[in-house]
Amino acid sequence: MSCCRSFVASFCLGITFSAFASEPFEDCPTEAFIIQTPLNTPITYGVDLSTGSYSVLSPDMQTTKVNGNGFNFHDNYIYGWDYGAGTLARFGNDYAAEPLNVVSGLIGQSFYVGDVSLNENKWFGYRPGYGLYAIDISDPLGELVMERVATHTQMGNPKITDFAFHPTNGLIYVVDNNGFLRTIDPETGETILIGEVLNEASAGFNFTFGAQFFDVDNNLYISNNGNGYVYKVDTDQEIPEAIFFAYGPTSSSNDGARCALAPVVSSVGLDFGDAPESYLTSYDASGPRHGESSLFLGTIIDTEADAYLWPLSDDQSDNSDDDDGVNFVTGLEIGESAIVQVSASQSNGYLNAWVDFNGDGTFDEDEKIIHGQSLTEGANAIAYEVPIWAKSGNSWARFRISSTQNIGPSGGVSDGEVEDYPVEITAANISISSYPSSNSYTSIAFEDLWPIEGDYDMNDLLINLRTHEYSKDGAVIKVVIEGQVAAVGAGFNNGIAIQLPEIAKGIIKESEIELSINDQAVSSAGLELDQNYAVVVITENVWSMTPRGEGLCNYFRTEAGCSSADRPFWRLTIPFEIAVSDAVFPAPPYDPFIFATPNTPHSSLVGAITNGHPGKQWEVHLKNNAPTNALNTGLFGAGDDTSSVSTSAFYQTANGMPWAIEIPQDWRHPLEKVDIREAYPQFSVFAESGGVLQTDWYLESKAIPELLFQD
Amino acid sequence: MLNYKTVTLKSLILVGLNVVLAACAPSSEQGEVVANAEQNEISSQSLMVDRDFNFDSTSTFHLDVLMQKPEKSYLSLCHSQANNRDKIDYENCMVRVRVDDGRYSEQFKLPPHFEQLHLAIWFLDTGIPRSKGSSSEMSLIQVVCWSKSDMLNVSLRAINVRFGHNLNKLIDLFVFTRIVSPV
Repeated sequence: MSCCRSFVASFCLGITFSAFASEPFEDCPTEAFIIQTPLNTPITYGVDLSTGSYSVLSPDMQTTKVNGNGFNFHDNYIYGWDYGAGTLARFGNDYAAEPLNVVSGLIGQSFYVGDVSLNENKWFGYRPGYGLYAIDISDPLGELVMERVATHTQMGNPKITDFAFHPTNGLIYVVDNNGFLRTIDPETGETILIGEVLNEASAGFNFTFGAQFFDVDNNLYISNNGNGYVYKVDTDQEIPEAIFFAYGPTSSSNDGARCALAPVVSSVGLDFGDAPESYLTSYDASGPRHGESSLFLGTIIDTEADAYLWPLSDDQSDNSDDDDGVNFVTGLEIGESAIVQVSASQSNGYLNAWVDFNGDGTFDEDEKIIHGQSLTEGANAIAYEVPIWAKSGNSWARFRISSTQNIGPSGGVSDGEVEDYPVEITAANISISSYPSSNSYTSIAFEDLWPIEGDYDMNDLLINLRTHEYSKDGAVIKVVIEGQVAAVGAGFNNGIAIQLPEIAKGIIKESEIELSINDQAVSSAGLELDQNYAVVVITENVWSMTPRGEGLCNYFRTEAGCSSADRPFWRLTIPFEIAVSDAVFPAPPYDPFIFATPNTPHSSLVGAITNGHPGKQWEVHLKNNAPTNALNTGLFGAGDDTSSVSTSAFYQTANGMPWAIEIPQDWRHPLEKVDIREAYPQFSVFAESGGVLQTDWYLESKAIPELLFQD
Repeated sequence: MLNYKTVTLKSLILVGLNVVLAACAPSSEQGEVVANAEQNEISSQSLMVDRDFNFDSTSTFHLDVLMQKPEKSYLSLCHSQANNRDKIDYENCMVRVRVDDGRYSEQFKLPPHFEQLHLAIWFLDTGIPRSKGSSSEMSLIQVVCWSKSDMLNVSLRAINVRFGHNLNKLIDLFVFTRIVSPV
């Protein structure tokens, strides 16, 4: 009987092969091949494992069903079991099954578990109830002999629906349908249990891993038939675990093949998030990624080869912020309702979103705020609740739109977009007032020759500031002062400090003052001693946080050709033990000032009055702002200064000219040695009118462009 | 210390002064700027500045919101989006505050180059679809855009206004006053 069947098969195959011989694949492709048989017609899909996106490569493989497939690295054909012919078949780049002449073994039976060895030119198949079989395919068009390697009993009767050959160690790996990773020795059939990599109860769905593949980095990818979820198992790990990787196609009949020596690489045309890596953002972390499509959030989507993690997001570096689809139209207040306004490019998308409410750097299941909600084209308002267990502070949110309705915070999908947002969670009923606004700066420009009148280029030290006052019930409970160094053109060494006038030191929670410089926490941050009011030093020497120019550049962003895109920055948080009424809280930008770096010289006049290096005895404030207790008041009236303590007139010349001014924007300052009155001609009008005329004198449109520093 | 939250009669008078002088001021075209620079010799003694003038160019902006019926709401006073002046930029705001009693009043330092601000009030508890819900009700939002273009007749215009089923939740009164602070 079997002989007759062999004869028939050989006869037919000879005709079939000559009539339909296909060409091999050209090389070791990076995509995976999945063969599914939804209606008795096997279909070949090409699957981009990086996202799970797939396309139909062949709608009809010209047989009834093909399974147990494996990519043969030796001849670049895919081999699998042809259910229609009841024998092994191969197919090349036309995806048409080409039955082969198997002359012994389980001819006419079916195999849905199979792969091709990389060490040997052999196809291996496992049939439940029978065992592991091998067919040498060194001469695929000759007579092929099927040999049994081991019985199913010898192998422990594993519950498996596919397996895959490791790219280097010669073993077969498989995650069975209970979530356990095993190896199978293809020489003996010996099966070794490595351990559980995925738990069915925890996952919440049944496992049928019908397609399993390797990449060249020894990662095993397993695709679950029921929901298309693709997991990645790093088999090099001592205790491997399955990490969710992508959302792929689903099928009740599912098998796959892939060249195990090909890497899985992220495709060109993927959109990534940009939250810190703890949120699983990059490709290596199996972060969220979306194939480029017409479905996205907002009006802009960009693509990249991998995520640009915060703080190096490409939203800033390429001046194209594609995180434009979500508006936090209310604050996130603990225990309160909140609203987001989400804009979708079209109507067939679903939104899933998370907020890291507990601030632990991950998006947990109970932090999911939007669950596969259908969106309409344009703006969608969606309310959610901020739980009472949320922690106040800075955190992150992630929004994902896709045609796949329910997805997690990581893993690839074929379409849509992910947008990550830094968010701030506050206690209930907290108002935030920002000056000039939450995302703009004012500038403070200092001249540092005081008490001698300087050159008025106003760039000896130029800082940008913005302030945020947090109030509850009409009283300020916390103030945050963000700043950056915009220019340093000083010959002397100066420090930066901020005074909160009329704010007594005792009402501040000094132990909770936080200062960071260039995102590095400063452990020594605190209030200055022997001061009447709160004074916090940002830095004792601005050069300690600012890179000096190179080559012919002596300063920082004051000389032509000495630009720098990076401005050193700081963030200072001052919480109050006793809240201060809004009505009496000092006006922003409060009282920023500079002082002489301790143990460094200033002018000879200053040195003579202060008996050497002045340190904190020398300060420069905005005009008519009072100094701190540290100032050596012997400097008042010296040189060109005409300060008068009795009339509260400080830091001005006999003509009323200042040593420091505020310009309420991120100001383009004059070049080194260029007088502000030359660079900004309307400044004089503004000054002499007492601020009535030309109030916007500082706009670049009112300046002499060639006299300004240009980046 | 300057307390910018204090409104003075002096400042009210200066509103008119500022407008008149601004109207008579020459254009800020760059060519004229250059001409002015050439006419004025720069020297350290060339300017005489009032000793009380501290070079602050900001003015004070007063915002008062009164709703006929107190509703829980959330108010944001923000800039326009950089690439679309008709859209509010919630990431660039002067204030973000929850309003429970239908009243809000505050004063802000306003740089002169702030050309336009948006006020957005979102009402809470008005049937905005919850994340798991399927409500088809429209969200309730009022966005008012304030423009500096006409300082005497402060213009209010509503944009992107979409009202829900309950029209009595409209905001009844916006009061915008721009006052130039001389101090």
